[in-house]
Amino acid sequence: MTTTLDIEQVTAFAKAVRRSLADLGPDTLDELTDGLEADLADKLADGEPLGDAAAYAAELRAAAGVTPATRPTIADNARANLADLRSRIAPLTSHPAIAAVLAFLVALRPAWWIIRGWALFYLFAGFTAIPQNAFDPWLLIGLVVLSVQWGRGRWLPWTWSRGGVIAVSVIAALAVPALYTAVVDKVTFSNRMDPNDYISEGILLNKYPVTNIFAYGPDGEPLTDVRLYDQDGNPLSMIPGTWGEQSYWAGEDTLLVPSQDAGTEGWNVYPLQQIDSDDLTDMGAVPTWAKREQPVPPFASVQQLRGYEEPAADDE
Amino acid sequence: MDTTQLLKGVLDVAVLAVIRDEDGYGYDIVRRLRAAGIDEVGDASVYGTLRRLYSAGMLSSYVVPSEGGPHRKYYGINAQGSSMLAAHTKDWEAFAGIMSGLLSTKRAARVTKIGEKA
Repeated sequence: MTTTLDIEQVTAFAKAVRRSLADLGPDTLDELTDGLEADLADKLADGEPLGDAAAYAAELRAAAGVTPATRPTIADNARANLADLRSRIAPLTSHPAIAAVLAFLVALRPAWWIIRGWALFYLFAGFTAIPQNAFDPWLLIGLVVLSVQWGRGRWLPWTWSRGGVIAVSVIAALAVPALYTAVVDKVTFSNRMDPNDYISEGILLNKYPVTNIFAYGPDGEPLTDVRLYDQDGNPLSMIPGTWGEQSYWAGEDTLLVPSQDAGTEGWNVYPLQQIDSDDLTDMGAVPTWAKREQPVPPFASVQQLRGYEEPAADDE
Repeated sequence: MDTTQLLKGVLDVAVLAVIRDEDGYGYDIVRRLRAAGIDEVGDASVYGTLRRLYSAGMLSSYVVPSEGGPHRKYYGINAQGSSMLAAHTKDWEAFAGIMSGLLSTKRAARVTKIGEKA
């Protein structure tokens, strides 16, 4: 006699069997399991246990000789091709030298897991190789941990997880060259920012730029309009390449300007004259009416050179 | 002896044979096979075989509603199934004859040999 308990048991079992066979598609599934409940109820009534639903489904599938309704997926084809490739290269990989290289590469896999996590960070964090904000370090750590766990075969909850990891790995591998470039850029940029390696242009004194030069004559009085050249005859300009530039910012609303008396090449005429920055045009040009001033020298006068003689008053 | 492997090759024919005279539903067919002495076959194997034979066009099927319970799916043999069963029966008899002959001849041959040596 069929009891309520039996019916529940049969229903649950049939449901589990259908779930195991769900990949066959609805038509095949119906054909295969139509009337299953009645048969299972009979089986129970005969005093036979129902057993394991998954094993039952597998037996049903094998005996019916059915295959999943879907055609072979890309993953199936890839797996088949990979297996084929493996069997083809098997004679190669059994060679001791190649086997040793492969074993070496396999030992490097953890390094790849970390790089994969980093490459994912690079993609997720908006193409930045190095953490930029407070959240980034956690994102980087999280992705590296995730990648390593995947590598160890953990944290793959679904059947398609492995395929997903392969897809993610391909994307990460494609991002590695860009990540490498970003790292190299970052490193060289950091170097450029190091003041010890910074090579300033122009005239330097103890690494600090010289902004003006004051010359004093043998009488100890400041000179104006002194033209300076180096040993090769190059104009000794504060800022090389400033030919054509009209002013040089020297702080405190002050702009240094080249001498007008040397044409456009007045940058080596010292001391450089200065104008008020308010006099600049909107385009940054120095107007002709700008009031040029001689800068205040650091010393009003310096000591006369030894042996200097005042020109005789009667020379005139 | 474990007849499971042997059974796999002939389950199709066995199933066709037990419904040759009378249609049956899934578990009923299992019972008939067991009554005939094939008791090592799982019911799921039988249902799978039924589905495969049906797909191959050997069987017809129909559903019979049952009062106060789940409906039953009945299978019956059709013309194609009958002719296939007839062909298989012929093949089987020939094959079984060969196998029987082979097995019994071996035994006899050995006895003779020993007898000759003795």
